[in-house]
Amino acid sequence: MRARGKIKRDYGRELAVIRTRTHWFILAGFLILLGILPGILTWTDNNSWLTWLNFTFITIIAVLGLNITTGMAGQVSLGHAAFIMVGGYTLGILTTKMDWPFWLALPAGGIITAAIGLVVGAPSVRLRGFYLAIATLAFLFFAQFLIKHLDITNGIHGLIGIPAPSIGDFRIDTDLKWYYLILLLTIGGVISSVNLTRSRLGRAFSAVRDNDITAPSMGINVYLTKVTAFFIGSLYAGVAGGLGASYLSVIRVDQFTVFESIWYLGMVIIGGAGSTAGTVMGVLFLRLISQFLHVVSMGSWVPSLGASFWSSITYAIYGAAIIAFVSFQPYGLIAIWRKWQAQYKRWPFG
Amino acid sequence: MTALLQLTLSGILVGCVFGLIAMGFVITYRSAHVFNMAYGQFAMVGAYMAWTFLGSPDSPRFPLWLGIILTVLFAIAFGLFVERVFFRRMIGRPLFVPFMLTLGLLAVINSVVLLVWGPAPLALAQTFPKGPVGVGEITLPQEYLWSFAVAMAALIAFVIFFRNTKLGLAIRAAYDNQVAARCLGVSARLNSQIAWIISSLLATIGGILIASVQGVSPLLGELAMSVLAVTMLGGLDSLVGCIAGGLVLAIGGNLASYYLNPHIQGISEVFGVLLILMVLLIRPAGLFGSKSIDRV
Repeated sequence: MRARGKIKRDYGRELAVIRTRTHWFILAGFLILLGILPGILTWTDNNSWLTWLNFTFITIIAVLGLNITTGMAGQVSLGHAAFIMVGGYTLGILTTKMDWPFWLALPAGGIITAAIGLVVGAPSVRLRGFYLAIATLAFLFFAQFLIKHLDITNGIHGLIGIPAPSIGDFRIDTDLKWYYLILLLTIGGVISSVNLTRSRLGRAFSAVRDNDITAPSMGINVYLTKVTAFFIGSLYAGVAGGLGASYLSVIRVDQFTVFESIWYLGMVIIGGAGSTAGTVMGVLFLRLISQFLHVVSMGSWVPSLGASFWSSITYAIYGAAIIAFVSFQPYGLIAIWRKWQAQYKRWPFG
Repeated sequence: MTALLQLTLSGILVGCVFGLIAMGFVITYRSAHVFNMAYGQFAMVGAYMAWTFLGSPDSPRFPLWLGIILTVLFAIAFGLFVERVFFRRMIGRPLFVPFMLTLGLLAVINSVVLLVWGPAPLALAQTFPKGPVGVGEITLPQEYLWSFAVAMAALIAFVIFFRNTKLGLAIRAAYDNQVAARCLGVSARLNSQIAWIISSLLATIGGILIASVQGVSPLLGELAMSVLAVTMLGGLDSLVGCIAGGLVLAIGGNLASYYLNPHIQGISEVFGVLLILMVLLIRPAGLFGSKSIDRV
């Protein structure tokens, strides 16, 4: 008789992300789905969905970074928009003013942003909780001030004409080509984020998050861990910012407001802090709300109320979603998902 | 020299108003352990309600005394509402949770105000007599003096409330030790309600005082940044620190905008931010804050 249930014969199998053959099938199906998604979405020859998808994936990369800093390592950062801004501006300056190719400027932007993240994260050994949040918020305002008043960033006018990436003669200039580039980077980001949680560093992150007094007793260098969390988080942000700047081909300082920072934190909370899958869910949740409102506002049966009305409504609903999740489902969408999963596994036994 | 004196004096007047506003922030932090990021929005709502009751200079609505009473009643109701609906269920949660909630509240209040009153700045009906007042070579706007007087009156009222009433004593006891205070029969729920009412009242008073000088606009929400600077400087849990922080912020901001702005353009708008960064790097507990509170 075959043994019932799933038997793990070694430790590696216990730790594996993809444990069973079914998982492999689901994963393959999911990847194929992601591959043909543009075809499905543009079925009704509506290109706005593809643009939405590209921005959503860029946001996923950015918020994965914040999830590492805030969700995994517990260092609350209200300055994530600033890191994304720095990444975008670095790529913009390197490509438009110094003629670097995109493929060099993108990692350079990531590294420079991460280095700035190191500097911002450095005081985290003394500042905890709110104080760190306020320090990162102050950093956001200070970065905005610098970018508004420096010459190299063109002040409030921003950078325009950031070139699209190209390989030889093949230029990534349509939404469809961008989709596959962004998809590849997003998958890379998700895989590294998932693997990070399973590494020593990832476990050190949770130890520091849960109690940074007991963490050193387990041989964890708290300071180094916190700073590393900022480093990796802003690395993601820098790459996402660079991608966004290049995809839009313009970057302006007023794209990166405090509200952006709040939404990123909200996405982490709504998805479920510390979980990569949760973060993806959280981003999709808020982005779907925004797209839904966009579609509604474009509908012919809706009286035209002006863009500022719809942006206010969007902000109000985002805020209400954050309040609702914090009040009633503080562990986020991933907790709902895990509950369903557990029930499904136990079914029909309770 | 006259310029220096002028800037310092107007800084003192404005600084006390900032200090008063910041006290409302500190009170909820001390009694409910809520780090209220939406505090600037509280002030904004208060100012807009005052505008609704008082009207603009061209079309005044209610007489001043009635308008002020209605606004104060609204502020009390708003404080109670916020406490009951959002923050009562936050008691005993990790501190990050209410923090996140106030960020959501910030967005919601901001958008609702934009939807109801629109983004254009509105002029508030005359609350204080206008016109300059001269002392020697120094001239100050009369509104500043009146705001200062109102702020001082409110300040003294709160000091008397906390020092000389039984309820004030109970609240101070609960600040020091919530558990011990509850053992002695101090109601935690009443405490929390009172804290939110005071916070909302102070925010509204501050919002009206500032709106009577610069008009009612969504920019009032940015007051939060000044309040943060004041409270960081003074120490998060110190009421005396609020006044000190307010004075430093206002006088320093005045001097920076006069002496530094010609050299470094726009430095005065980030003065508060730089102050926050400096305080956090050098002395995170602030001037008057207690050291132990930086645990979260």
